[in-house]
Amino acid sequence: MPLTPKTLDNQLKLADYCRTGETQDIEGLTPNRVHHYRRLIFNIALDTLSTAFPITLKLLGQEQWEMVIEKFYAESKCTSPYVWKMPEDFYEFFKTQASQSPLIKVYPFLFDLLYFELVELNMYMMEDEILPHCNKEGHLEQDKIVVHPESKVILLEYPVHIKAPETITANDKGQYYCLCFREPTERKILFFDLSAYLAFVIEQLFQKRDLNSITEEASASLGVDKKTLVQNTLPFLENLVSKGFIMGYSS
Amino acid sequence: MEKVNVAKANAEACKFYVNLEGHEFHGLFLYPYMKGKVGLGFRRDFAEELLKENAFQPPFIEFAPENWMRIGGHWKQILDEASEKFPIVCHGLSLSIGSPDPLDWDFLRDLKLFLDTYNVQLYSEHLSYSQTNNAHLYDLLPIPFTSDAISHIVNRIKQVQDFLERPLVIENVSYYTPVAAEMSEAHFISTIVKESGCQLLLDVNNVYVNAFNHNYNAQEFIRRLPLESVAYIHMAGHEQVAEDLIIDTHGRPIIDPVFELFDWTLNRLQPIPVLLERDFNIPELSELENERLKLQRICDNKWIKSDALNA
Repeated sequence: MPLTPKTLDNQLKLADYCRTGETQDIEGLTPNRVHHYRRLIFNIALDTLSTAFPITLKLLGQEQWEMVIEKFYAESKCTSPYVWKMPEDFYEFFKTQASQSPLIKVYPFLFDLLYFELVELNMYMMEDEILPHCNKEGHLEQDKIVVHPESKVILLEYPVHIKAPETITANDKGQYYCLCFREPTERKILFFDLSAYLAFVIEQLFQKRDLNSITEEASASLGVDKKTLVQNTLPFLENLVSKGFIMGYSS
Repeated sequence: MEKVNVAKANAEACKFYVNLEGHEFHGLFLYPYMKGKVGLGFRRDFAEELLKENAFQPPFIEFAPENWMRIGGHWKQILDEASEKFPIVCHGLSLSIGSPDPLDWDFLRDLKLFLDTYNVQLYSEHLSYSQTNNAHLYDLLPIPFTSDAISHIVNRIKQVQDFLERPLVIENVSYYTPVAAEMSEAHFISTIVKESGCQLLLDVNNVYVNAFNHNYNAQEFIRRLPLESVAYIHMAGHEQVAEDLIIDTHGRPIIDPVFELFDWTLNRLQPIPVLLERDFNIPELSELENERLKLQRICDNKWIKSDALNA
């Protein structure tokens, strides 16, 4: 027996009220009680999103932050059965709203900031990748480099990864690359600011290339001496070896 | 303190077979080991502390699978460590068994894999709904106590049990207002349990909260439940927010009247696992352990002593 229209209607109205706060004509309620459901549900969203976006919360302040979340909850949907994925729905909602949001006029970097915080959360929580086989011993210049798969390069318009939000202005707009990496010991997320050239190098390392061939290609397109490129790149790669991003070498 | 030996507990496990309307469920059950034992809700706030060598050892732990599924990294390491140290029971949040929305089969597939991977001995969920129109609310809304809702839920419980190949244990939830009720809560729950063949998670604190909020007798309510189907008990604290309203926060210690109701209830049940839940205002682990031990003493007093007398 399917749900009767009456039962269905009451269930939908209660859920809608909890999301929007708009009064609904729901049958059989005890007076002055139903608002507790909305309060409890809103607190779950507030707690989840405040934990996920602490920098954004600090930037906007509690009152403005709660207004943003109320709007999200009323106008959007949390589509995942996993509450820790709510920040992704929040970010997607904000993306659709960004052009109309007055907040973007005040904080033009807000979209990047939310994205940056979301990337950190998603990478921290993401399922473990199967680690590729590689030799620990090798040579950064000649051997094909194997990098940790729990990593990616992101492109930002504002330097939210290197500057405090309150110091970022519209003049900072540009192209910023950032390597995000879940380090293998404590499984925390590390961020490395990259020049366009280093972003190119990292993207090539994902293809298991050696530095020799990468700098040869870069030298031709940039018109910079290959030896200089290698000398400038090696300290950066050695740091990535020490952090565990470069796992080893393949033949 | 008795140290939990998961390997030993597994070895002592028995096979269970449940036949429901031609559908046979089977699997390994640690039930014999957990019967009469008081476990602890496993929360991230104290997960690492509980895994330390010198930490106290609850006989089993329980957590919401949704908070630990589809994850990797640090928390996956913690989950793996916990599963080697403790027998695991899962208490779901997002099945939304009373929802008008269709069952989420992708979620159920992931859930089944998770329960199998971690050898989860008992899977329970709430008799409520938390999703409509593909929007999750992550909280437990009250289902209208109606005949059509019963049929709807019974059908869904059977589908879930069939798919997961294990019995579903359904919890009586706390609620702050009824919605379009056509029958009593006790009748609603009892009919669902009887018609679906599911088991019952009796949350004694929820009974107390509901009895207070809706002005009924808690003992009378429990008497009307199908007590032979109770497979598991939850105990927790709550918060009174108004003269006539208690909210089931799991944020405070259990109060004496709830201990008394628990004591009274155990007289009517065979030994089953019991769980102490604490989700907010989490105190020092030693304080939680003292509360857990208090529950354990009540269980031992009721179930071990009465066994000895009957022997």
